[in-house]
Amino acid sequence: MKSADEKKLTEIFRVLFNMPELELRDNLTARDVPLWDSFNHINLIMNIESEFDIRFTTDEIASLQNVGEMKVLINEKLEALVA
Amino acid sequence: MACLGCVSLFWLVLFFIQYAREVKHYFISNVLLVLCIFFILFIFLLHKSNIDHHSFFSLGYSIYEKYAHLQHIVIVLSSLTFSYIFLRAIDLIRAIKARNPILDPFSLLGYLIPFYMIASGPVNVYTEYVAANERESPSPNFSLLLESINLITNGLFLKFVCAEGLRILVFGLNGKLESTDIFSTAFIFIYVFFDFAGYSYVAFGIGKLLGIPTPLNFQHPYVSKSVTEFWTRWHVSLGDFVKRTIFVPLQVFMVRKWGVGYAYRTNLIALIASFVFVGIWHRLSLKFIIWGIMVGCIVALEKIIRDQLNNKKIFSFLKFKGPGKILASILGPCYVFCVIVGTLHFAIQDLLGQ
Repeated sequence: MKSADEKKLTEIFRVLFNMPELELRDNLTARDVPLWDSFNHINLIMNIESEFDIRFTTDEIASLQNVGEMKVLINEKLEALVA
Repeated sequence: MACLGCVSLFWLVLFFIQYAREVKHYFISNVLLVLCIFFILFIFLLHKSNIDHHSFFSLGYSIYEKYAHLQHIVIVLSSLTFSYIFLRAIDLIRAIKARNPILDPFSLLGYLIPFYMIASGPVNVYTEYVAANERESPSPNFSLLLESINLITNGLFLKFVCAEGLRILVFGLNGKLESTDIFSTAFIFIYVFFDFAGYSYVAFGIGKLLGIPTPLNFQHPYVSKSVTEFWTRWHVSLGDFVKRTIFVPLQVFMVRKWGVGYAYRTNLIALIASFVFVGIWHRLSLKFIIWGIMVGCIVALEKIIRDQLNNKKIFSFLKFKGPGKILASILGPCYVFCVIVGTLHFAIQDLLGQ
């Protein structure tokens, strides 16, 4: 993932979950972030979709396990956009 | 053999769906997919509405009594506890729709009707099963064997000593589980935990030994401090299934339709709908639908209170700190126990077929 994209993603997390110091590790999961529940998960996804101008499928949203997987998926989608 | 036949037929249909998609006949593949889901749903509802010859539609007779020649289907449906096969079949269809590979009929049989998970689950995940199928099975080693034996014997202890001991103590040696008052419901609730968790530990142990992914179904549910937390610890594999198959798709559908501005409200609706499904999964009856709405509303209310706690100071008296935290960890489980027993007491007659 490009550093600019990574910065953008980190900013989304920091604002949404109200954690200005949050750093995105690949193994970060919803369990590690107090406000990241299944309600906020959809807000997170919608925020990412509008910021990166991509679209996730329902299965992708349901199966995302951690930030690492999320980064890979975003990257795939961005590359598909360029191609 | 009948099972293998059914699974082979199912495999054939799935294969057609995949083939139709590959040659870009999307319409045919989608129609087949929907038909497949409806067919499985139909059998499921038939199964759920007619266990013990209880009829949801109150026709005065059970469907099976009217159509006595369907009797052999009843035997298959009740003996194989179709509920779990139904969940696995739906998970399988969902995975195929998301373009996961279809395994051969024998492996599919192992996924849909695993011998050690026939009676009470847990609901294993198809994608995990596929991944394990591709991996080499673990070489037998002593520590794995010991760990598995430990899990299996723990499970057997929970089932045959704790659960059965409690049953004999409360309901007598040959007594049937009966809910006559709220206390007997509470006993049944504890009995079901020992019985079901014990069974799940045995399944978990066997799964570990065979290298087949088997989810851990119970994670100390009685220490939960909220009803919300309880449902992440009790029958975990069903909770996960409902989340990925009902809650998230509904959530995404409604958010895309009405926009993020309504997300909070639509999330609450998706939440309650999920619990209604859990109710119907237990038994297709009016009482269990109401049970689902009740539990869904309680979980929704907890969510609203939790958010108020985080945002405003309205409910600050509920924010436990220091010694209050210890108090919360005692009062929380008591509250959860009362809520679960209370809601269960309302619907339990339908479950026990009383």
